[in-house]
Amino acid sequence: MRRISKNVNVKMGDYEIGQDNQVLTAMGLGSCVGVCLYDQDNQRAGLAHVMLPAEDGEESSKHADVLLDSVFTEMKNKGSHLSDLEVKIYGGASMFDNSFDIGERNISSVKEEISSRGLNIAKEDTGGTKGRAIWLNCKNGNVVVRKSFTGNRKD
Amino acid sequence: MDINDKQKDKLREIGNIGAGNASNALSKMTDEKIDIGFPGIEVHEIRDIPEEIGNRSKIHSLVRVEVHVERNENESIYLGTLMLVLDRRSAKILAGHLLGDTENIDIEQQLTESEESALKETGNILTGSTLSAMTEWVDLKLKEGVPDIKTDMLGAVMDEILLKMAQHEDEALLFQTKFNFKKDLNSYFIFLFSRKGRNLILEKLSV
Repeated sequence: MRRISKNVNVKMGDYEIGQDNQVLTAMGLGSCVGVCLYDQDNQRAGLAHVMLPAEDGEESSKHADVLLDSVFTEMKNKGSHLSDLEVKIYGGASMFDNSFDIGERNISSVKEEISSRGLNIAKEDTGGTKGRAIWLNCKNGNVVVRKSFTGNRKD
Repeated sequence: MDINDKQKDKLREIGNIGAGNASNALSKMTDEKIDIGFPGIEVHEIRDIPEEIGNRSKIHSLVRVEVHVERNENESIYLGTLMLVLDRRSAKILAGHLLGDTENIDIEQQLTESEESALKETGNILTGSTLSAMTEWVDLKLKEGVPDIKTDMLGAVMDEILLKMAQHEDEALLFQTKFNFKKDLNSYFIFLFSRKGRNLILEKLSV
């Protein structure tokens, strides 16, 4: 039986977890960072759409530490081993000429959160001056990245 | 500070006058009649704002101008950002009209430097006419920044404006109206107020 995959869009400051034929997407990532987690054994994946870097005393899911804590915890609760997760990150661009450095700060905050859990980043396409859209396939962990005016790439 | 219906109406009225001035200026520049739609003024979750305006993943050109309130020599408060948002086709067509060259518009091509400059200049003029409408109602010294333009996915071009506000608040006051310019053109005139900026304006309005 052929099953039609279903795209689930992840909003800013939010995350989603999907399984099997589901595809998780983050559209129009500018300075935000999309963090993709993939658990091969269970064909499960999580995608977090990070808005802002971690900040002391901030408890909102807008911030990288709070949001990533939630997605890692839920992946674990569903039965994934955190040490087995494959991590890929995308986004953190500076869209305007006189940008404030929020994209760069997001990237380094996300990296800190990942490495503090003893995980490596398998693939990344971060920084630069272009927006990105990403599609994360929950079955095989593949990520399709689209940058404006440049076409698609598969990671 | 919450915003009540009376305040919303007042802000809508001011916005309407500002947008009206802006559309008149734009009509003169393009020699085309430009109508404005009924303006929306609502408080939205910052994370929902791109969807309020259009499709996050579609290519748009965004002209942004930051506006500050000058309190005194050393203190200025970020009031918000004015944006002109156009989908790809609309950006090309409007730029063509601004440059007086409507014969050779190729909507498949990216904007040229002179088209970008023309749209940025439009951002300047729209901001000027909006701020002069605002200062008629509120006694504040408003200062506009230098316009920027970027063409990319709508969500991506709005990110920095939204994240700047999201650092201090979860919601923002969004004023938006559509410029109806020729048939089927999608151009939006938007003013996004920061919380501090909104509170300053509401204090001065005293309604």
